[in-house]
Amino acid sequence: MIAFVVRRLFQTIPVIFGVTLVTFLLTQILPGDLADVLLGPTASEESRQQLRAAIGLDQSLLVQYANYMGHLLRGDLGQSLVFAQPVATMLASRLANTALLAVSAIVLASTAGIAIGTWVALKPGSLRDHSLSASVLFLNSMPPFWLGLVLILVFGLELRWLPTSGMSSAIGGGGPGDLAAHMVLPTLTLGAWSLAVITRMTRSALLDVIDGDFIRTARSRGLSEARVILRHALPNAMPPVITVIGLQAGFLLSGAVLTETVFSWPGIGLAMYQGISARDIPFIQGGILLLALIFVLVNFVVDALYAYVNPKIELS
Amino acid sequence: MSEQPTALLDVRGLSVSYGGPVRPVHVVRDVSFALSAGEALGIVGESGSGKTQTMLAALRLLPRGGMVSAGSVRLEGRELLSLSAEEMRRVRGRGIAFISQDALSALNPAMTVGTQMAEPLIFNEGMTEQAALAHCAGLLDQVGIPGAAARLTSYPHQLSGGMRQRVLIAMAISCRPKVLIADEPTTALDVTIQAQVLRLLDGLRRELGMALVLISHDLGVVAGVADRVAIMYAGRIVEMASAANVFGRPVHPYTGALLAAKPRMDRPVDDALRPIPGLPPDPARPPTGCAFHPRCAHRVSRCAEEMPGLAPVGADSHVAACWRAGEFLANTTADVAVSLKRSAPVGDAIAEPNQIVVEDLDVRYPVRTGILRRVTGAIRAVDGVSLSIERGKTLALVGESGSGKTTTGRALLGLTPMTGGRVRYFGRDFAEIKRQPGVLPRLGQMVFQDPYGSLNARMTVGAALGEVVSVHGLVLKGGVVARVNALLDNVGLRSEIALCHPHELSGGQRQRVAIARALAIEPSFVVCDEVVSALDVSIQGQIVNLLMDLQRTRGLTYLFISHDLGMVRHIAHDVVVMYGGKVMEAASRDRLFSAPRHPYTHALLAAVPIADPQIERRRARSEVRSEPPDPAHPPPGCRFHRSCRFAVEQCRVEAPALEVTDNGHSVACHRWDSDEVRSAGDHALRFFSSALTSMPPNHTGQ
Repeated sequence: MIAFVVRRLFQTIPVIFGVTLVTFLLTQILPGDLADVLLGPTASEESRQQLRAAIGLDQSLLVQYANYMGHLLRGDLGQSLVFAQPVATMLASRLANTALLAVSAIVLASTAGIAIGTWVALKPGSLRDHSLSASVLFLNSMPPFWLGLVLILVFGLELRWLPTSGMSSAIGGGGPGDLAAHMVLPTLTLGAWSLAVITRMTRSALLDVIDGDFIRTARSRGLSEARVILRHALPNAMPPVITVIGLQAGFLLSGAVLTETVFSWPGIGLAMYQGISARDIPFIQGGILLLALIFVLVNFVVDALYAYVNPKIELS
Repeated sequence: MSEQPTALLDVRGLSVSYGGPVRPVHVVRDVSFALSAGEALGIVGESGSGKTQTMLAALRLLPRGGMVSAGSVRLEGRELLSLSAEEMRRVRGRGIAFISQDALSALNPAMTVGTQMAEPLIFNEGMTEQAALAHCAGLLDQVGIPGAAARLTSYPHQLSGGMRQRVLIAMAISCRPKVLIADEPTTALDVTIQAQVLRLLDGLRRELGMALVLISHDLGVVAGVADRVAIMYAGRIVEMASAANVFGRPVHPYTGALLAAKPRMDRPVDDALRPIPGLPPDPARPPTGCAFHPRCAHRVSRCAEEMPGLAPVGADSHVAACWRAGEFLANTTADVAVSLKRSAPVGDAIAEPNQIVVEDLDVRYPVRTGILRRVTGAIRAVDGVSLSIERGKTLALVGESGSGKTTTGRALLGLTPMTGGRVRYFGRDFAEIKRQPGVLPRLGQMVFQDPYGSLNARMTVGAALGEVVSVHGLVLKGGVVARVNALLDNVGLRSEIALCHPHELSGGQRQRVAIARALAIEPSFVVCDEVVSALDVSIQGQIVNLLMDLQRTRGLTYLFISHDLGMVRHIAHDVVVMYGGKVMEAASRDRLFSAPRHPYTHALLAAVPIADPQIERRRARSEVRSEPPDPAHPPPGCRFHRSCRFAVEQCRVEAPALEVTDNGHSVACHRWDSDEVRSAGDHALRFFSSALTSMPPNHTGQ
């Protein structure tokens, strides 16, 4: 398995290289360039050309990319226009907040999704199965920003149980309890969709496995039903579920932009929203690169986990 | 049926149905039998006969949708069907244990052997983990797994098929059950391994005093082990008696027909096989009266009207459900003489344009290891194989899994790249043929083992056949339907079949479609890869007869890949025996089956299960003791020497060349001419002959 993981790690190198190339080229596709953004619509053509020459925009694409990579390797992502600080510093300060939200959302979605999916798979076709499957489908069809707004309306404005924005209360806040209270609604909003997908995948994967011969073998040996399900059926149903959880990482990152905006959560998503609104090209570039790298990393972790739950994988 | 209250397992009037109470489909109907301690009962029937469902019902492990609609199952007098789920759980494993057919899917792929073996010992028997694992190592040793302790940390996919089946057996006996149910325990195994596993099961039964229920579709498998045999058809027991009576004096026409459906030694080999006509009934629409009557050659009008009950015939609690049972019992007579038809030796000088010639065929797959996936070795699937097939004849390639027989067949059709050697099709070089697009498919086609997997599930039969016909531009646009109908007609199917999807067809029909697909572009050469081994015994003969008819009418050349020597003797003109990627022996069919020379051929012949309990009991079962060699690290010397009881020092160091002896008979063995090997050959041949003759003379006029 270790050989497989190491080999898989080496495979991420060309992917990461490709990611830098794409984020670099992305700014070429955007209408207008950094000089236009910096100088605004009223500047003269002459001053635009001067600025272009000053920041190297008049050089060939290859040279520009080489410069970009050179800066990148030194950890320099450029200067953010909106936040008036280095992009790297800005992203680093916001990363933890987004990670907190995304990780709690995926943990909630995975644990609850696997548990509910298992529970309904035990009695397929029952009332329990039909009612829960219907509610899951409902969650599945709801866009996160809309769910966020509904949650804010109900729990924040009507019932006044939970805070609706930010990470901590302005007055006397900051403790762990306060943080937890602030996290409830954004986490639910962000995790709901993934929860639905994971529940459905767990249910169908488990139903595929549960009719298998080895489950019958386990039962025929007098093992308790709990053991049969938890030790025999569930691990064998996990590979597709893990794949789906890995894919959720991508949706969580895009979902974070919407969720953070709705709840004014001070993470990368909210910053990206502000950066995009203001055409802050260096910040957009840095943000996309970071999100893409996280995605690559998550996929690598998923494959490693896959190898762990399926001992046959190293052969192929 | 015994009425003694001492029965260990007593099944009475058991019926199983699917599909709920509104529209039930009965798959088991009114089955009763009793099993006393230490007794072995064989249950024989085709797929869908209800043999497995009966035993799953007794264990209360029916798949979803199945329910016991009537009857009782008592273990030591205790009714199992009314126990609570928790009480029933305690019966499983200790009271009744179960071994299922396919050991690979019956073991948890994500758990080591030791962990899954030890589970019930730790959680049900209260052993410590260490004690449980030590106990498991002992069990593995008991079932004959070498290096048992080390195997505990293996995953199922790392073991060979035979070893997995042994692990499953070890698991089943781990809690000392009183009754062991083995459901087709050897069906997925090679014939020599099958013999080992049967001997093991029988030995364990005696050693541990268990009662054994052996479920199989093969009468021969049951013959050696069972004290009593029950024959099931369409959910009912149609005949039950001591093994000696079922095989020696069967009274039910179905039992007789099953025995007669296999190739027989006492009939001229070129004779057509005698399969049972028709198909088993659809359980949702059973025929009126006796379920077997539509296929029965001895039916009378009463058979279609009234269902015969199980009634005693003759002595020894022999029961049968047939109106004419009494009549048939009176007719049973003496043995059949063994006669082996010998034909003239094959002419030696055959012009090459009429042959497919294979010289020194090599197929190697690279082995990659480590982080960089560098090629560090090669798996020698086929290692220097030479053979030739005459136009219009059948060459059988015989061997166990891993022998390279399928790879050879695939390489001949270009489906697997060859890494060395030369192939000529009727005088044309293979490499040259391959360069011309579309020519190779017209020269050679393949029919695969699994007709379920080899047909596209989403295409109708007509679409699948039509595609082949039109892709190769064999007919004009409007002629496709007519051509498809003609193809279906050639393989004995009605033209309505063209509108069906594969899942709507039976296994035999599907294999016929696969044959039609192979013939669609009119190849001259067809590779048949284990084409009948996935089919029921009563259907196998139909397919083989079809293949032989097609050969006669179209002059087809066959490469018939099989492990079933009885079938091979029936269909082949020449036989090549392979082991570990090399040819061990090659001869004409008549030479091989009258004077087999290689010890491996002897082992194969002697391992064929015999539907005669007396012979089965007397013989020391298997001569092959070890597993086939690892193709990545073949042993030095002769590939077979580790399993050969005649191996001497020379066999361990020097690989024997394939030498031509006489009559075109070649053999690769240093010792084939020694007296002991020759006498072992005679011995093996006697067993094989009895395997193909041990059946009663009546009921065979199908």
